[in-house]
Amino acid sequence: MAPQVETQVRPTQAERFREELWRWIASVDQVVVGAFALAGLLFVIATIKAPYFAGWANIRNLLVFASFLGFAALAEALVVLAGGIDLSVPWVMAFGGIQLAQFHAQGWPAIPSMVVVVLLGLVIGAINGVFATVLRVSPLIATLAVGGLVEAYLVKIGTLQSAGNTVPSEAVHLARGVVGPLPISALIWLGTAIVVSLVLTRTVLGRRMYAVGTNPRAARLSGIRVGRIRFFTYVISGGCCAFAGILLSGYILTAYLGDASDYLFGAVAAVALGGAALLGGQGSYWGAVAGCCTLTVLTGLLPVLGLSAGSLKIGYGIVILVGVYMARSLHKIRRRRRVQEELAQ
Amino acid sequence: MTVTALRGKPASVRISSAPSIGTMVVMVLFVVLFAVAVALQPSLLTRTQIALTIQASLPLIFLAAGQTIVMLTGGIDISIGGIMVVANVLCSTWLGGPSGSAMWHLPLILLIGIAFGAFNGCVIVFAKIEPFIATLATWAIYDGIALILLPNPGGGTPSGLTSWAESTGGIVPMPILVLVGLLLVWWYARSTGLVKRIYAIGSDPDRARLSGVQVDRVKLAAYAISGGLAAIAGIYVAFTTGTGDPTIGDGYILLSVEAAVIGGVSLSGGYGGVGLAVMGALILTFIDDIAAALLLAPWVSIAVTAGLLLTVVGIRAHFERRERI
Repeated sequence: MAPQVETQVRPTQAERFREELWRWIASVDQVVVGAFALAGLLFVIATIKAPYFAGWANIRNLLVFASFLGFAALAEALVVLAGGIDLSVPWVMAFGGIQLAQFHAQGWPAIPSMVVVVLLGLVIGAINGVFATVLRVSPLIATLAVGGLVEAYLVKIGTLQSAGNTVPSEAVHLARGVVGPLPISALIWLGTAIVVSLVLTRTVLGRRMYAVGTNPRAARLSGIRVGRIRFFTYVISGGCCAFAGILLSGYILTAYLGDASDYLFGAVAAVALGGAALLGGQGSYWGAVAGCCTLTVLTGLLPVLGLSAGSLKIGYGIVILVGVYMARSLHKIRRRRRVQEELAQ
Repeated sequence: MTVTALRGKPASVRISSAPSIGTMVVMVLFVVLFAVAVALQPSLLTRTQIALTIQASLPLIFLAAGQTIVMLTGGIDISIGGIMVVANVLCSTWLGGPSGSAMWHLPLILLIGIAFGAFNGCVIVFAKIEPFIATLATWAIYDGIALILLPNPGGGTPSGLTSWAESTGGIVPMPILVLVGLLLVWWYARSTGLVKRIYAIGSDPDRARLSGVQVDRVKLAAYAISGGLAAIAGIYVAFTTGTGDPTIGDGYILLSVEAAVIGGVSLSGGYGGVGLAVMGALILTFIDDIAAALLLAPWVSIAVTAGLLLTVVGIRAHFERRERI
């Protein structure tokens, strides 16, 4: 219960601040807290086993990896929020890296070629959007097929082998460089996360995305152009994936078809771990950020615990099941409490 | 809730309805592609060639059949790739190698597949996690189990069974018999209560529940069947290749969805059938055959498959408009 302020007495600065703080704490999403707690728990387990895990060098590495997944998950989170799904992620990511390498080989300057690659990613996203919203193909199939078309293009330009696919040094700097103690890619990711969460919670567009995902029919009846909002999420998704592909290629210093194949289900898993329902309208981007951290720490556990690839996969599956179940339960509790509060008023 | 239940079409109508436009599109496509493939390669009509074509597509056919059963309930099964490799790996390590001294383990492998499928069903029904996420997680678990059982491709299957599965001669070649067997089982299963209930909960879960269908149990059964069929696919691959390989499953996951969808099975449930999914799987095989016969570059068949998927589903969405939003 927030402390009630007497109307006659004007609250002091400190009182007002305390009230604001309290309100903010009360409004923090338990689902997101739970998702971060899961990541923290895995991190603590790893640190107990191997103290170097908590060293800054390792954390920085994890942050870099998490940022690649982070952009893919950002793409997925927005689409899922509005009630769709995007399975073209790994192909668009591979496209981002390979197309950049292609431009580099043709002697394009680095910065414009990166911009063009992201723009082309937006175009691919728009194609997804046209099929999934205008032509009403089910999003799963539409994005899968568009992913297939992108794959066909990548096979056609014949850059299956990684040899010779050099990426410009600017992309390498973007993925591997640091500003002070923090990696550049993680900083961009953090900035994007802040912007996205502000857009989702504070703008009309963000609220409309939730509305469209929660109940498209009600949203349409209240005058929201459902198709247009969904189309927008696919476009953004394409651009994000292309950018994630640029980062990934900068990190691995090359680009090849299949370099991003783990991100197909990784992005969906991160989003679900963060509490998003695949039917839409639920979840926040911070939840997806937490999901990315969980999955990245989990992958980092492999060498620490001396696990085989098989046991890591089993762990991966169990963490997804437990994490998603936890997120659903927390969400239910949160919703129940809200209903009770509303009834009490 | 009740409003939608009242507006929904009766579940029984869709099972016995005349072929819809979507179904006719698939049939026309199937015939046209088959004709083109035969025109390019007349030897395709010989018994051996037909058998070889079917043999190559049988794993996908089994997986697509299982995927169809799950899609009919309105779900999706990502984990079939994992169940398939577990069965495949068990075949190569558990049956006593080429001598086949421990052949009696074979039914156990099938049971394990069914049990894994039932576990999927439990997670979906009891933990109430969406099928996509739930089976995504269990896929990782099953894949991990297969990797632990057999980290690298290897092992051996009973040589007798290999020659049995590979034989494409005889009056009626083996792969054709297997396919006909699958279709006969489906033809019989269609009239059983379970499959009718599967259609019912797919077309309208609320209506089904109101009319006394135990939705949870039926869903669980659907996932168990899918697990069993995935295990059969894995076993079949083990027999035809003679070894086990823990990495073969990944490529089949989305391919099985594509086959079912090209065949006209609805992702939102309640519409389609195993026969159509078989056609979808064969269509995907024909595309590769035609591309190979014309010596086309590899990217062409990828593009054609994707384009076909968009066209078929787009046409269907345009004509049927079953889902307005």
